[in-house]
Amino acid sequence: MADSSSTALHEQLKQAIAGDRDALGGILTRHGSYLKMLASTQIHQRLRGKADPSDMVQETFLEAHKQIDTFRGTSHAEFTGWLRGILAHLLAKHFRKYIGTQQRDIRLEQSLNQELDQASGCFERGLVAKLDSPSTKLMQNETMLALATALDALPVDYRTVIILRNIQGLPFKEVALAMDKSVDSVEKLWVRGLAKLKLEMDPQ
Amino acid sequence: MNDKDKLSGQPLESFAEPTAQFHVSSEAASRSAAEDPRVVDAVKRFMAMMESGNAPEVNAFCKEYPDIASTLEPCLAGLAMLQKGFGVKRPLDENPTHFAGSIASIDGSMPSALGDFQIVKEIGRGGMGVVYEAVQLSLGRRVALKVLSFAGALDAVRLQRFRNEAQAAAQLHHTHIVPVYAVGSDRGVHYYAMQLIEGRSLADVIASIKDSRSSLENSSRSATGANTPSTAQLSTNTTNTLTTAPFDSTQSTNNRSLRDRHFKSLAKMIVQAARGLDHAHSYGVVHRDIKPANIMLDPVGNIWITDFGLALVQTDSNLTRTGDLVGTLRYMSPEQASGGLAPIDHRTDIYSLGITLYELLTLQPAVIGVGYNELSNQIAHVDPRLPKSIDATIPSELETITLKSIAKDPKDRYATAAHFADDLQRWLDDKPILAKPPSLLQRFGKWRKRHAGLVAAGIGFLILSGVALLGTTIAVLREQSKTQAALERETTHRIASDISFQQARRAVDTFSQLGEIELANRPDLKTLRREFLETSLDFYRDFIDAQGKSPTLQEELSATMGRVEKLVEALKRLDRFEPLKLLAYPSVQNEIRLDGEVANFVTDKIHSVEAMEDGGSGGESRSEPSEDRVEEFEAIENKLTDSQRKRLNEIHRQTRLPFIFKSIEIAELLALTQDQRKLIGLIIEQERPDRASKKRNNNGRGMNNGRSNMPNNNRPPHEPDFPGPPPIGGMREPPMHGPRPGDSRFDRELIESQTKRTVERIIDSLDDQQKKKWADLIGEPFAIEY
Repeated sequence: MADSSSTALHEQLKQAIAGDRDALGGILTRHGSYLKMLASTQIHQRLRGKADPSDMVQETFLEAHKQIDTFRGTSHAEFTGWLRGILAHLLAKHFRKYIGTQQRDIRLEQSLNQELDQASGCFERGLVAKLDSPSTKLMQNETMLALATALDALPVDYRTVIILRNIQGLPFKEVALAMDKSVDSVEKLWVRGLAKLKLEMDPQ
Repeated sequence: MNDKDKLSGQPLESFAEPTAQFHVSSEAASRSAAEDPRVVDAVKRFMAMMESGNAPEVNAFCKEYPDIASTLEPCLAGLAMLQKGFGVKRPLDENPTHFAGSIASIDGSMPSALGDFQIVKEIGRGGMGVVYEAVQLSLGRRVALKVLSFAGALDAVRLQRFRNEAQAAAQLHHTHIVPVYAVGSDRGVHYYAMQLIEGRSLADVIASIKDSRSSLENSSRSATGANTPSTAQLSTNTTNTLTTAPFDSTQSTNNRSLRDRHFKSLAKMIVQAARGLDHAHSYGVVHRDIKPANIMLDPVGNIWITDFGLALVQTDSNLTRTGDLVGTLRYMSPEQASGGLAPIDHRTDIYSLGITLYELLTLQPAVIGVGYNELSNQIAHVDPRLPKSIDATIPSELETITLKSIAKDPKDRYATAAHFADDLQRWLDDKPILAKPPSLLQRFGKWRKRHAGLVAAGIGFLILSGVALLGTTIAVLREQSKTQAALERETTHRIASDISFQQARRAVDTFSQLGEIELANRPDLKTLRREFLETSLDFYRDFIDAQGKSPTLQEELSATMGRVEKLVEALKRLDRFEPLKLLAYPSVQNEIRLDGEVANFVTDKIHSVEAMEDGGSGGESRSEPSEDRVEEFEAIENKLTDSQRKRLNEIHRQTRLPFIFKSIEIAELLALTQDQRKLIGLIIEQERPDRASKKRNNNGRGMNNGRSNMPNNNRPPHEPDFPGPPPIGGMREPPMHGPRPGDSRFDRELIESQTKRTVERIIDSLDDQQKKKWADLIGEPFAIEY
């Protein structure tokens, strides 16, 4: 799935960078679920759900349209990272509004950025193993977007448990706490969610 | 997946029954497949394997569970996809199920696994973090896992630096360097995996030699112990050539050779460490934190340098903990202790290794001291005691080598760690060493540096005694001229101090002149003027005290002071009459309930004062209250009752908000502290409407025509001064932020809200007592109808 679409995606990215607004719109749409997932992990953690991840995604898109001229990369991974940066910036702005003055420093944005990177698996991967070639990176980026889209299509409980456990890396105990369910039930939700996710990704 | 619907229809609590993780219930088989706790367990197990980096193929794994394989397979596939897309996220405090039982993280505080590493037990704690024995799951080898406790405090830059350093260190392959297997982070916890060295650090070695020696001394003193048990202590741990056998120097040649062997074994350790360092240096890696605790001795007698790449991150934040600080500082090189003034290169390691050797030989730290300053001063300036002065049995060549390696100036040390190792090796091989003991001259040079004061004093004494001899002979001759010189000196001194006095005086004179004359023309700067004058008064008082001896000067100063004093008095009086001027407004007369008769009288008086001003003495003296006017005012004042006066004062204060807070009267009444006054000034300054947007009106006199309602920067409190320049307008004009005829309503409201906010902020800054007092001073709000 990655192969055919990734060349298309690459083409689309090139057009978007060249100034094609439609191409940019298309490529942004593909990132929608992914950004939403990232936003929801952060909003969940810091705002206890006091903001709508979809709104953050919309704002990110708007900013991306405004700032596409400032994007200096060429690869898809760079583009995704760039979007993450915008999202981190917007989230930081948003958090400050809610959390107030106490965290009003540049570190909030930095740490958000880092956390988002981390949630995307890029961070650790680059650290522990340097095996990733550019092409595997692209594949991974592709998979990431596809997964985010598939996750977005899951029933909310399934999605939540998978995000909390597998993206944010919370232990089941905390996942259960966050979802106000028992550990047993979140574990079961999780297993079913995984199977459903597989089905979404690969219907065979 | 077809049972999903069925399941979601059930209340979630039905799943909540406690089930042991590996407990396979007999009823489970009869349940629907996805409900089978074994599925959950199997998926969790698979995830744990994934998280530790050694997950098998999904299909292979499923074969272990033939009866639930069909349910299991999609779950695992989903999990694998997630991993592929987002990487592995392992919660730190969750028991990995496949290791359940092998590790008990009872309190949950100890991470059971980090990345590929399964933690077995804690083996040590230090400034850098906790060291665990762990198993690298993918390769099944035992490792030492250092978890950096400070990582949370690291910013991205420092973290990156740590990674770079650690990766550079991981490239080092040398028999005397502990290999770094991996550097990584897991959920924000940064770790560093190294080969697990079974052995002890040189710090332990030093401690145990010390122990054995002191117990030896005790036992040999108490009895003729044929064999002291404590001497065996070390050799049970290590089977190397190091001996802690009897060191009693009074004993015979047998012991002597034992001691030789002891020192040789120590030298061998340092040779190995130096070789290891040299290897690292040749790759451009500087350790920066060589100390006994970072050098390991394994049971075979091999030396291992550990913790490469960690020193760089170990700056400020975690060094602030004093214990670690001292532990690390003792071994710091002078260039490191200089705090970034001197460049740091590989020779810092040579120094630190030399200091380690010193401690091994003498069994005491080369640098003794408490606290950062004492330690760093010692490192920079004080040469440690000569090793042989601590233990005479230390071979002199070894001492010479040690001293060379720990020279304060990097240039005086061995150029490379290899040279250091070579020289030690020469000694071990009984060849002549290259290092030279410092010559007498060098020693004197060092001694002189160390005792610069003493040397200077000594030389001074020599010279003095010589001079004294000569001196006495001509003392008598000189006596007279000496007196002369003293007199001259005294005179010069007096002239000098006179000059400085004159300068100061001129400054204060100018200051008070400014207040007396220049500012008199600026009614808007009245408050400032009074501050000027009062300050200069203080100075004059000081001058009079200081120059008490000179009567002429006294007189002069007193005269000036008297003049200024009078002025201040007059200004104060003027302040007192200020509220009375408000009586020109009928609304104010009403408010304080003036009777018809008194009201008429007051109105008359006010008009006559106004007339006086109109006819005006004009010019410079304008702001000085003339005697006539004072009389008129006093007449008015006398007609008022106490309560009327109080209310009038209140209203007057209201008109002068917020600047009234800067008046001396309020400052005194509220007993504002100096800090509070400053703060109030600041608040007023901050709350002032945007200055840039308003045109400046620098001309004090023209300000009323300028119609700039916003008080601007240059013209602070626009305070109406009696007698203000435009006859009626000046008086009628509501002082501060008050509205004026012609102002738009918007402007007025803006100014009012501005004033209100400023006042609120100021009141906020007052203490409770002051707040109460203020409420009393300001009274009920009243709006004057102009």
